[in-house]
Amino acid sequence: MSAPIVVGGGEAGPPGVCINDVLTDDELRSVLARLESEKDREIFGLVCKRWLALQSAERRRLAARAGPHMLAMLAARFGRVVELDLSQSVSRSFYPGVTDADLAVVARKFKRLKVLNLSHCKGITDKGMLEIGDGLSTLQSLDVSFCRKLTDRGLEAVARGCHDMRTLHLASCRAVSDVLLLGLSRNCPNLEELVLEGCTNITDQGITDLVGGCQKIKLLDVSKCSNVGDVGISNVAKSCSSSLRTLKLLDCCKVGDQSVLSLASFCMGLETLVVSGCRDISDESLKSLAAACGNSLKTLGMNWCLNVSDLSLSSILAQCRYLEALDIGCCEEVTDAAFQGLASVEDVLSLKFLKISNCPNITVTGLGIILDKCRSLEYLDLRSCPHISKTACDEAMLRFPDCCKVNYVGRLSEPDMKL
Amino acid sequence: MEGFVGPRVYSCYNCRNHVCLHDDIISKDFQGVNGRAFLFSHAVNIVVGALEDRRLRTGLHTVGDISCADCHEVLGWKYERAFEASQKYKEGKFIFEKVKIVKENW
Repeated sequence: MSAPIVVGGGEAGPPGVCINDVLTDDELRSVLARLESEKDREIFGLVCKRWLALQSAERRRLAARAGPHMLAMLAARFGRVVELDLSQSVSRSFYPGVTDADLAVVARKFKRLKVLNLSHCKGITDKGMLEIGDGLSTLQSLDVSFCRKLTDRGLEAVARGCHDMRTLHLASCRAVSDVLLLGLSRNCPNLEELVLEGCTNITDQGITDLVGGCQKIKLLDVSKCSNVGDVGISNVAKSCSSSLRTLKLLDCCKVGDQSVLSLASFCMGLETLVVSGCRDISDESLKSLAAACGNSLKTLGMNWCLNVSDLSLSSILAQCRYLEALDIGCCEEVTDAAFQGLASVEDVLSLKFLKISNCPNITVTGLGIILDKCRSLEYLDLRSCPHISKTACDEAMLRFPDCCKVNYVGRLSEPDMKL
Repeated sequence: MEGFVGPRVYSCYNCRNHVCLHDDIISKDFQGVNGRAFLFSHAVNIVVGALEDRRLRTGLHTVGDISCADCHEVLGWKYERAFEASQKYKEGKFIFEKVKIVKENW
């Protein structure tokens, strides 16, 4: 940069002074702080080596695919990184991927790390977890979903070493058992989010132990943990009553009315509940839940709950005023009568996402009432409803909300609504 | 190479894209629309279609069609969820119909 540049409104400095020589590092940093988009911040780094060094030093988040040597270089250049994303693609053929040796480098060099994403890093083992437990004591969030080789041994080491752990994702870590949950309760009292989807060895004992020490849990996902039942979930409701916001119990067939009643008794702030596949749940407990959590419940997943009928559904629709997502697929007992109560209600419902697929007793009449009251609908799944088809809807002259995507026969991709 | 034995690969009958391995077969006892079908633990180079709840002979399931990633031919389906406990073993696994796959040089 050799061309002279005028600094300020008409008040020129001595001719030939470069703006880059005048501005201090702190001034450049305050300029960088005002750049909001990632792209702008990257462009900032393209100006010259000095600006690049400043931008690198300020960088908080990195996503990389790198071996040990490159990781060490990244750690040296980006000294303030708190979030590192090394997650891999789902594809089976990726080789070699992130290894324990890479994790050793991360543990030793990225000392300020708070968030580490290793999902689908299928090659890592307990050895890598031991390194992380040893080196990253400030780690708050770890995602090792689908890292199938991990066992209690490695993950317990992480629990022991990372006392401030808040978010832990262990989806499909099939070797995980109650032993780890006990370890978490002893070492990680600040745990807020725990995903154990597909960890089929988990039992009620483990869950009970977990909430003995971890009483600030906001999100618990034990989907497909078929050995978890009413005992464990009731204890979760009691111990984490003020913090619990999201509870996912997809296909936990042993969960029944007692769990739902416990949630109604203790968890007034519950926002998301998925009991899809919990076939023993019946109307009575759901009515209690609607009464207790009517002001907080936003997402309710009840597909495959074959005992659910109009009795509870009408209560839910009447009392859960902020409900945004509802899934009652395959609830065969539900009829148009469940929606009749809505017809007389003044208010419009806030429902955005509704799945009533495989409900053989709902007709265009019921659908008409729903459409009348749910003007914010964005996605509607009507597949396999024998009385509802595009033709039938056109004949009944139903008015769909403007932005609503309607799935009659299964060609649309489904938006992700936490169900 | 003479005598070299590699993995026994099945390909899409339409475009010969590799889709599954013989060693991943769990059962040969399934019936599809077009006849016999096999249950595989893994599949590659396929696209899973929209998931639907369906009442099959063995009970309520969530399934999605699988099609060849290259030529888009439907080759079978994937079991995503199963209602009956005895059918849970199929979750996450793939059905390829016998007429839709061919042995790749073995």
